[in-house]
Amino acid sequence: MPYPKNCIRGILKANFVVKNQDSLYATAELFEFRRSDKPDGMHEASINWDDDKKAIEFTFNQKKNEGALKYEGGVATLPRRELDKIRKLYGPMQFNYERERRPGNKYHGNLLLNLTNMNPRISKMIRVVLAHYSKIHFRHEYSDLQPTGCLSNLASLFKSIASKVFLKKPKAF
Amino acid sequence: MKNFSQGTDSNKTPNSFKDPPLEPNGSDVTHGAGDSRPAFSFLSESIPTKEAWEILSKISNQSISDQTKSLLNAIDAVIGITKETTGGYGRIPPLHAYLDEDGSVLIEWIIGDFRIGFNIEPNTEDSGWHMVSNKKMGENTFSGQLLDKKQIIRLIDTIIKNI
Repeated sequence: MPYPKNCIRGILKANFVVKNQDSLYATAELFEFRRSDKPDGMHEASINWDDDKKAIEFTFNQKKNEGALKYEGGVATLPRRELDKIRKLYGPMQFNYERERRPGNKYHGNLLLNLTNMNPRISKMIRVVLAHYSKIHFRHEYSDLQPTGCLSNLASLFKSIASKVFLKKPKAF
Repeated sequence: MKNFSQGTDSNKTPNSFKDPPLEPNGSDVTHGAGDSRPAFSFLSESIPTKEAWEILSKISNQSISDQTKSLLNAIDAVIGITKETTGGYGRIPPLHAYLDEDGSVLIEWIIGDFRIGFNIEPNTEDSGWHMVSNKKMGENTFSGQLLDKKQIIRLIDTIIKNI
């Protein structure tokens, strides 16, 4: 089965999402990778694949063993194209994704990150990137807010920052 | 995400980021979770680094604690200067910090179309910064080490002045 355009990451805690300027943003804390039993050293972060129109709603309604809703913070969707860019850059042995269907959850899969061999600065950056491209679908309190905010007037300013601080001195740090 | 640009890891003094923190009054900073914030505390407004400072009480690794203080002191110093010249924090968003499962600290500064992250690791050479921007701002990704404090201050200053 081909992979869909987006994956879905359940937000276990509401504080994995922050509000700035009336918009909601995921933090990198949302993408904590846990040790797996995979032989290649890959750590995993559980996701669902957005295979059909029911996938997001299904994820919203997933429950813990005791019956409470599992994702109190709602869910985040993340474009697969961003996953592909990271995978292409670092290689599938460092970052990858998979399907791993489970009983009762046909959408389930994992993001895979090789924390065993990766410089922590790079692995943390990847998590920041994943958070940056996530779109929040919040459960309740902030339903009137825009899912992802933009301060459009910063576009030109960022280019200015980048050229001054980074592009001309890429080895400064 | 279009480009990844990384700083090099060589030719750096591993502990250079552990220089005495930048503070207006030049005082030393002690270890632990005590009051090590810069002198300028503005009670009428929420300080952008308030949450990030609170992470210190959870850090057990001395190197991570020292680096985190040094970084936050530098950010506070630059923010403080902005506060004094503009009369407020304006649109400076708060920094968010948390302790990772591996004991490291991750600090994020989410500023609309881009975000900056700082990871603080036990080994200073592994600590770094990352900047990611969205499509409006070129979908760039940059990263580097946290070894050169002057460059970090310059980075923070440039960002704050353009918020």
